[in-house]
Amino acid sequence: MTRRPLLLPTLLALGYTFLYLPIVVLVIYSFNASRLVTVWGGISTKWYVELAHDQRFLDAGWLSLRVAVTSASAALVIGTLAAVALVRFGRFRGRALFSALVAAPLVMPEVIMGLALLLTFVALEQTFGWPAGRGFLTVVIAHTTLATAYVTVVVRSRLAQMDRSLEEAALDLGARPLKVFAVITLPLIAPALAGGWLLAFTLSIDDVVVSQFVTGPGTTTLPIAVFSSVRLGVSPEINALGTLIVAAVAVIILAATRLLARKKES
Amino acid sequence: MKAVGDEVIGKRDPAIRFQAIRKRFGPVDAVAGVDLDIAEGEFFSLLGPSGCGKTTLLRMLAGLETPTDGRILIGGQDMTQVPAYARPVNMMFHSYALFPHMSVADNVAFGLKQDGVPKAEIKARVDAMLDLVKLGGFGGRRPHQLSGGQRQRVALARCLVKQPRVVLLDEPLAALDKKLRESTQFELVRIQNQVGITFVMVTHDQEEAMGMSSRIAVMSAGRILQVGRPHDIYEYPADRFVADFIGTANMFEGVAAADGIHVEGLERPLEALGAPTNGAAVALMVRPEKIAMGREAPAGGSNVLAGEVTEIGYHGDVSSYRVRLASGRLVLVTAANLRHAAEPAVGRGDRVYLSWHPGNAVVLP
Repeated sequence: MTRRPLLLPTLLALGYTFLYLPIVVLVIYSFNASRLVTVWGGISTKWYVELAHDQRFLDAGWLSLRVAVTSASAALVIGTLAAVALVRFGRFRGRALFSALVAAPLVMPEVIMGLALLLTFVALEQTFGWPAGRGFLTVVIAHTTLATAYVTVVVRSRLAQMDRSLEEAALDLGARPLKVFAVITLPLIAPALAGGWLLAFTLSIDDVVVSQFVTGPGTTTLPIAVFSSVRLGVSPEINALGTLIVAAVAVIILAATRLLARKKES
Repeated sequence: MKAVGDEVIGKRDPAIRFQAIRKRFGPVDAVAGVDLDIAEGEFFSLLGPSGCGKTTLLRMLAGLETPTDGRILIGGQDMTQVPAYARPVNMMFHSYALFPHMSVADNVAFGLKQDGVPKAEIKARVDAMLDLVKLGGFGGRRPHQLSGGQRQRVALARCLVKQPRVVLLDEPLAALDKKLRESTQFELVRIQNQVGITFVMVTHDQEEAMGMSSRIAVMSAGRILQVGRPHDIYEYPADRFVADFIGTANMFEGVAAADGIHVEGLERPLEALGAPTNGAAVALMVRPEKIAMGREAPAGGSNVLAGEVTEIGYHGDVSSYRVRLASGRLVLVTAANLRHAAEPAVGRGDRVYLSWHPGNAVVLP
């Protein structure tokens, strides 16, 4: 045996450790029986039980879920339409500007985004009286803005890869443009749509920064609830919650990458 | 050339008529003014190098591009502004464009479903069409489970099943390997004869066009240079571009005079039928297979040139020879390998005499 075959596994192990050790530590401590977070007191699932009875977190979780589903769905529709316009409508006036603006939230610091959205909502309320106050609606709008950029990027690349002549063939065979979109284009980009939706969903469900700016009293999303409770000291309950979120996000990310990978086969 | 087209067209209404069709893409004219009639039931080919505008012309016929100027009539009706989905025309795409998420049968049935044909009739017509292209029993498969040749036939069935007035073929054989391409040529012609629909094919392959078409339009730079039967285009090309693009041509550029065409470097003027005598600059075109080659000078013939064989390409059935004349000019000659095995072959470095009948040479402007 030479030493060479050991090099790659070692590097791989180091890489994984670097990436996932903190998460593993979190998961382990979520089963800690001790109330002190850094002192090991044996294995227990009591923090999970306590979490299940904590109305504050349950409410926040339910709100986050509703926000994420609503904003991901809205972002999917808007993002897909934007992608179709960019890929299929040829050169229209302002295309380059539109293309840049659609992608802007990808690179814009979230703090700026949050602040800008807050100012807009306040200005709108003062001028038109809508949206009244900050809450569910403003958070959904903010998350949709953010997630649309991601959906557009994902759907756009899928559309660009798609053979244009498939749509032309359907048109040639007598299907009207909207029908072509429904029965040819949509089924063929479906993996990208599902992937884009999941991406938007995860983006929304773990967002703190933008949400902080645009949320109002009584509308506490899960990440904000976690953040504010941690400021008063980390309770092992948070570790349990963190573990559940990690598990949920892992499942969603896995599903999203699966769907995005499958697009290459078809 | 005009006579041939008019003769074919004259008897019936043209299935397709292009009137002064022009298509601009940005600063360039992809199609720069095309007038063309295609008769009912023809197998018509648009032939030309890539970028000559042939595909754009085909796409305008399908309704996938809108002409900048001009009119397109199909069956006597103005179709210029009719959208692709409402035209009695179906196209077979270069990539075949089979819908990957549908079975073969659903692919073929797609066009009929759009027209609201009853289910039972759709099934019967799809089955009949799959039988016609020899894919009976393949209806349940997905396109990716088929070979290239099978996919091509599904694409064809999908075009034919709607019984359009015109079927458009965009480089239908380009994606197939050579052996399959040859058999598919015959197959396409057989099917076209059977269904009796007008076919318009785009190709850059002159052999394909010659072997399948009733007539060919040779295009270059957005214009049609010549329209005619394969035989006419090959034997009587309208100009030097057509002569050069279709097959191989030996060109002798010279000046036409009363005693023949004077070519620089040749001792005697070349004799040609129907050549002008007014001192015009012309080119005399002779096909390589029309030139006879021998070791002895033919007695008393005109158009005899002496030279030396510099290269031989052996292709099995024929061989091609490059012969260098005294002036340094190279002449290409092809000869069928009919020679008995014991006869001595013409070899490299041999001195040979080339000659041809004046009727086999064409004078081009």
